[in-house]
Formats: sequence, structure tokens, C-alpha cells
Amino acid sequence: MRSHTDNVGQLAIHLEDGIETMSEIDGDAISAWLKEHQDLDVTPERAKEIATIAFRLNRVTLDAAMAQDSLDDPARYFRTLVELADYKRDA
Amino acid sequence: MSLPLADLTLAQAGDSVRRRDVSSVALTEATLDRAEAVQPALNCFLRIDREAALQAADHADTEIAGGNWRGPLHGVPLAHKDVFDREGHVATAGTILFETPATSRATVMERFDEAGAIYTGALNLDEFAAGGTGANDHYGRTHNPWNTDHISGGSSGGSAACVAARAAFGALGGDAGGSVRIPAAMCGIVGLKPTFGRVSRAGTAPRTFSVDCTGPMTRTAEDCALMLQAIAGHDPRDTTCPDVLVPDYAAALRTDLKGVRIGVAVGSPFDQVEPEIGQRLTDASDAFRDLGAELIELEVPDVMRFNDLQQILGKTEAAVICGKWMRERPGDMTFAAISVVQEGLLMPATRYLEAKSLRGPLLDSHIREIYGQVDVLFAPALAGPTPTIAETDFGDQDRVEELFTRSARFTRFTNYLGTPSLSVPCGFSASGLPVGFQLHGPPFGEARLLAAAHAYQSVTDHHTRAPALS
Repeated sequence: MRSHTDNVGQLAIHLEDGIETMSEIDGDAISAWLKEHQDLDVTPERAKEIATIAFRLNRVTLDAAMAQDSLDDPARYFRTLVELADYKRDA
Repeated sequence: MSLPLADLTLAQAGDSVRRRDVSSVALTEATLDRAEAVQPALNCFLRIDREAALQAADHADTEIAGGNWRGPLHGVPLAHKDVFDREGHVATAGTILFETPATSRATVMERFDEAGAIYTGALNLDEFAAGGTGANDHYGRTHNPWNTDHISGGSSGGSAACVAARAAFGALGGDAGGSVRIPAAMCGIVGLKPTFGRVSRAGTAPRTFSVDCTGPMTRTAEDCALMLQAIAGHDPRDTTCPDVLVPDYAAALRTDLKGVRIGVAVGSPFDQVEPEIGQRLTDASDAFRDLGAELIELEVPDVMRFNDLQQILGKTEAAVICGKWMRERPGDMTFAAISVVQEGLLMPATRYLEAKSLRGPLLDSHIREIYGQVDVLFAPALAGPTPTIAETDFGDQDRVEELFTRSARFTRFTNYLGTPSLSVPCGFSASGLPVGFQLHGPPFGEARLLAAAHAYQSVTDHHTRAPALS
């Protein structure tokens, strides 16, 4: 029986590495983590499915973030949106 | 009046009421009769408010007769996706979890009421607006009016089917990833996802916090402009709704496109459409060229990455919004609604904040790169013909999601960026189901999208065809 610590550790590794292939994901570990930390009952099979999608999206996001020199306050998005209002090609 | 009342466009109906060629009561009765006639086949309504609608219509007639005409929506019947608060009613959001009637009114409902529009009822949707097929196990699915064996698309499927079936002159939907534009394309109507913050979401049941947009669904671009005019603009009740000038959308409509540069999106993912869809898109782009527009083929970088970042925001926020219900009343939620948000529980706060922090700089570079070259971007709305219900009813929700994603990869990226997109009908597939394209633009550039779509509709007749419902 895998210990709780192992489950968390394995999930941490998954989250860090963004493992994408479903066969590499331990559904039991993900299911146990979801129960422990999200108070949610999810079967290991389902946990494996959602982890496959989530970890791929996490990886894409991490890679995009690392491609930036730095990241700013998310609230600045709204200023950018307004500054670009009806942006003209000849502006 | 040569046309049956329900066949008028919203603009024609409003003008007829203004000129008192037809009363709002007669118009509303005709619309309600049509709604009740198509409801058994389409199941697009969750509630029809006949009595209240007729009272409001009578009041509108009295006001107009007294010289108090409020504008082009005065006396015109509209119905809306069931996510907007109105006092005394439960905005169900397609769930059975909400039981307390609203005690206030959504800003968009207030603004339509101030414009004198007639509210006729609440429209069906996927549970929690978390789906793309129009299926709802609690209230029954919405059917496509062009062929009831086919899906309506979703999540604003009730809105799309209702408008296409002439059971309302316009409807509001909500779009967090394509939920206005995809059902609009599948049902053959115009659907607008406005700029994030262009339309207030105060009093609107949220699907997400960062990517939701409320938008009009109509038969014509002109009608869409009239609806948007009534609801666009700053709202102190919605902190994401900035004080940016609202142009006169109807005045900006045009019938030629001389001097307009239209970028035709090429490359991945936009080339991943089935041949018969591709042919309709080619026909549409040819029409734009004939209208005087200059067409420029354009690769649009990073669309798939933007789509993924939209999923990070959408799934994380939806998991928060639905979290209480998923944990406390999972038996009252369908797997269809739960399954598309569960991934959000495995996304760390760092990834979520990275996706949010990236949004400003990626928007800035996208706008300067694309709209530094063209005025409007032309792209597909659907990857293939609208599926049958049987093709989406195979019990595997992830496969349904995958099917939806075929088209959502054309729509989600503008939810991440927050830019406006308009879905416009452009013909029919071999199976007789509508096909659509999208026009994308820079933030708060809705007027140029509507202008281009209006010009297109001035030389085509796809939007005038009506489904053969009894």
C-alpha cells in the first residue's frame, strides 16, 4: 500500500515535470491526493484521465511563463486591454 | 405586412412597432405562439413568461402611442439564456442546484428593460454552461431547428435554436470558450462574443471569472448591433467592465468594404476543417473580396497555446465555482458538468497565476502583430458538419469534449486574449446543417466586425433562410 507521503510526492513530481503520457501517471496516487487535499472522491481511472489533461496544460503554461523575461501583476491585463482599444493598423 | 411577424428581423420588428404598423402586443403574441409551437420539437425554452410578456408589450404600446418611443428595441420580444437574474425567478444555469429566486436584476436585463424590450422567457443550456452540445440531463437537450436529429451546439444552445426558429427576435448567450459562437454557427445565426468587459456580467451566473462574456445572438449583424448598443458600456456593479467609449454600432454598419484589409487565417489550427466546410469558407472570403476588401493570408501564431491557457483559467475557476456542489451534492450534478472542470483541481496556483500574468503581454504582441496588418481576421467557426445527437451520445464525456474541441480550438483563444469575435452563417453542409465563419478583431473593435458582417449579409441570403419547422 502506497503511503500518503508517497502519493503527495508522486503528485508533486507529476506537477513539476508535467508528465503527459497517461501510462506514466499513477491513477491511485492522484485519486488519493484528490481525496486528501480536495475532499473529492475520484476513481483511479478517472484521476488518471484528468491528470493527463491537467499535466499537459500545466506544462504548456510553465513553458510559456519561462519564455518570458519576467511576469507582471496579472491586473495589468485590464490596462493593456483598454490601451489597445480598437487598435488601428495604421496607429 | 407581407412577412409573417415572426419572420421579421429584429430591426424590422422594432421599426414596425415604432411606426405603429404593428403593436407590440401583436408582435409578442406571434412570437409566443411561435415559441410554444416549436418548443415540443426543440426544447429551447426552460420557461415561457406569456402573461408578463403580454403585460409589458401592452405597456410598450401605451408608451409609444403617447410619444415615448425608447429606441429600436422598444416593444420587441427577446428571450435569454437562463443565467441572468430577474427578481422572483431562479436563474437555473441549467442545474437543479439553485433554488432561491433572485432579489435583484442582472445589469443586462435592466438595460433591456430600460430599452423597452419585452422579456418572453428563459432559454435552455448545458448544465452550468459546461458543455458544447446543448445536452442537459436535468431539463432535456435542445435540438437543432434545421434537423432535430442534430445537436444545437452549446452551451447557449437554447438561445441559438430559439432565434433560428423565429421564436424570439434575439437572445443573449454566454461565451467562455465558444458557447455563443459555436451554437450560433450550428443553428445558422449571428453570435457575438464581445471584448471581455464590454458587457456587464453583474447578476449573471458565472461559468468562469476571467473569460466569460455575455453576447447577443440574432439573425443579422444589424440586429446584433442593436442589441449590443443597449447593453454595452461601463457598469459600476461589475469591476471588470471599464469605462470605454461605446460607439454607435448601427451607424458603423456598411455595405461595401473598400479599403478594408481582411486577414484570412491560414495554417494550424485553421486549416483543420473538413473539405465541405473549407468550400463554404472560400465562398465567404470570395464574397468579401467582391465587396472590395483586400484579403491577406495570415499565419496567427500561438493560437493553440492561447487555447491551452484559456483552459487553465477556465477549468481552475470553474472548479472553484462548482467546488461546493461537486463535494456536497455530486449526485445532483451530471458527469457531463463535473468532468470538464475536474482538471482544475490539479492545476497549481503557480500555473494559474502564470496564465493570468501572461495574458497582458501575449495580448499586446498578438494585437500588434495581427491588427498591425489587417483590420479584421477571418477564420472558421466549425471544423466539420454539425454532428447528430447519436454521434455525441455515446456515454463517454471525454470523447464528447474532444468532439467539441475540434471547433473550440477556433474559438477559445479569443476568450483568453479577451478580444471580440463574431460568428456569421455562410451556407449549409451537404447534410443541410448551417456552417459559419468567425470575424475577430482588436479589443473593443466590435463595430468593425459588425460592419464587415453586415456588408457580407447585404450580398448573401443565408441568414434569410428559415428552418422548415411546423
